[in-house]
Amino acid sequence: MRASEARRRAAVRPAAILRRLRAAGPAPTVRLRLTATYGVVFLLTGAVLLTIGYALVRHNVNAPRNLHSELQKLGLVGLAPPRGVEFGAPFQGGYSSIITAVRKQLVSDALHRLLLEYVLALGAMTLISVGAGWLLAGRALRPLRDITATARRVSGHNLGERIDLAGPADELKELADTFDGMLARLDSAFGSQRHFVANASHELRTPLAIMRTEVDVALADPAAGIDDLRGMGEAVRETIDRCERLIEGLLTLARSESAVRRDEPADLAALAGDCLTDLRARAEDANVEVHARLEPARASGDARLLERLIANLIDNGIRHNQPGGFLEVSTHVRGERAVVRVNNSGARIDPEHAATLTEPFRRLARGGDGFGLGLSIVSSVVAAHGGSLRINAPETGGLDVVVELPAVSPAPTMSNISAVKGNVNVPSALMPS
Amino acid sequence: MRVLIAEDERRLADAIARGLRREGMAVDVAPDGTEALTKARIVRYDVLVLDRDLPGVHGDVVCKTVRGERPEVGILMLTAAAGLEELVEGLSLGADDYLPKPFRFAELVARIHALARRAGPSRPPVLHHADIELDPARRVVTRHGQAVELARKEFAVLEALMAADGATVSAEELLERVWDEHIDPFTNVVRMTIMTLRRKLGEPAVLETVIGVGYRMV
Repeated sequence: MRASEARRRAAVRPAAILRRLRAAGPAPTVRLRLTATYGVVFLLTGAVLLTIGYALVRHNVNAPRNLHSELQKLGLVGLAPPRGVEFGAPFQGGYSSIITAVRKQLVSDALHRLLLEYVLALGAMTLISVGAGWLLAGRALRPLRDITATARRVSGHNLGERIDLAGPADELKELADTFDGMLARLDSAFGSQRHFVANASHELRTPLAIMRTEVDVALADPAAGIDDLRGMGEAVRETIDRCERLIEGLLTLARSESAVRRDEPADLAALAGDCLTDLRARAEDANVEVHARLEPARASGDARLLERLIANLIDNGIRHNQPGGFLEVSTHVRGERAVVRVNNSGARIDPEHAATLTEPFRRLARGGDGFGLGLSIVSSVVAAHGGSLRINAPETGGLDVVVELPAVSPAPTMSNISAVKGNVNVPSALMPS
Repeated sequence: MRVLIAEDERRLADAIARGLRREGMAVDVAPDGTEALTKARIVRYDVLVLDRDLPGVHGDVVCKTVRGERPEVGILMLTAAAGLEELVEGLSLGADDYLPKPFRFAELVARIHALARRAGPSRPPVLHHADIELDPARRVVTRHGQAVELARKEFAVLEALMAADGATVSAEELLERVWDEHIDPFTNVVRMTIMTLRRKLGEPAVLETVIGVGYRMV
């Protein structure tokens, strides 16, 4: 029992050590690999270099030479025996062979020592270079460790963290900057998500609070008469209407944010005409004069969403207008783009404020019956259809919204041609206000 | 008890005001932060029910300002943001209590009562004077253990006098604490209510008129 436990513990120990090492920091495999590569390259180059050096030395000292001329070069002419006379006859081979033998021995010793010293020097230098390589690799990889540490720290709650890598504009700096850029984008996306959720929850809780209070107050009164209960019912119904409109708006926004699945042809002029017919009574009530200039402008996509887009623009134009004001709706094709433009009079809007109107729950004025989703829906429908949206707040007041969508050329049928002709000849179809 | 509701949702403000008035409170409504501040400066409210997301002056600013100028007012923050962070933030701004929307109306009433009790000198949840007992939360008054049926304003006047604990309360003060801003300041409604109260409470008389000053319990 105990032995097996000890064995298990022994087996566990290396794993535990490894785990501790890992916990201490990332396994430095890249650093090791860089160092090893550096060391091997140094060793190989050094070895080749030394081998060449050794070979050259060896070749040069062993080159065959004439003993006589060598001695003469050294000024030892007197010592040299006269030509043809063998000096020191007692030695086998004579004088010359002794010198040659000694020389051979000396050269061989020197070469041997040289080789040994070369190998030792190469070994020492390789060790030094491996150490230097380890340090340099660590230095080069430090920014990577910073990036890793930041990435590890960052979560949904602290996207404000940045690496802010200092140093020369190299590949690592580029990586760090790219990473920072990604964090910034994520941060803003998370931020607008949080903003959206907070606003949506506010908008959904408020009607709930109203209904709950109405019902609680009415039911808590034992003497509540039929009129009180009726009043409560009407208040609750009105609040439910408001909830329905909000949920409808949120659903449309969600639908428009997902990619367009339908790809049906839609004439923006026809859609705008329908919207104007639907909203004409509202415009009359608001005492707003409507001008329409609808030329065929064919786009493709989800016709229901495109209609909603135009309806929202016209609805905004009527809602944020002034009595006696105007609303201009026009559609046409410009180059490859099908254009809808809605321009209305109204109070002057700060251009900076106008730019934020596409954010969900941004309202021009509080207390109205809108939720601030209209232009968000417009914006996301436009984006889903690959179009562009421009919101201008002219000095004279009101808004001027231009939507451009990729145009689709109409199928060349007779009816289409005549429709185009008809509208070209009579470019402005004036809607009665 | 005088309550100010600062809430920009007209329907919600109306419903709360209706419900609180039926609980015998004097209720004023301010639809934005500016008006809430103005009213809180003029009238001595017991409790301020404050929506955090107010137009005009933001609810946070109203909360801080009122807390600075009138430390005795109980502030109950209402808000649609129900997270812990918002709660901590709201309380750190000087609010005494925090209620996320949607809330149960009974809970709102109970919290307002608790705040009113905490504001000013602390007083017991049930007020006693001689053999009279008054429970503000349950809106019950008894004398000799017998229930006394009181109208809302009568109840509120008696509560104010019992809370004063024998001190004299002026007619103006009663008018301010029990009736809301729509009351005519030259009305004799206080005198009429005191008369009815005397009749309903019976003998021996406990309500005394201090001529030229006001009323007190004896």
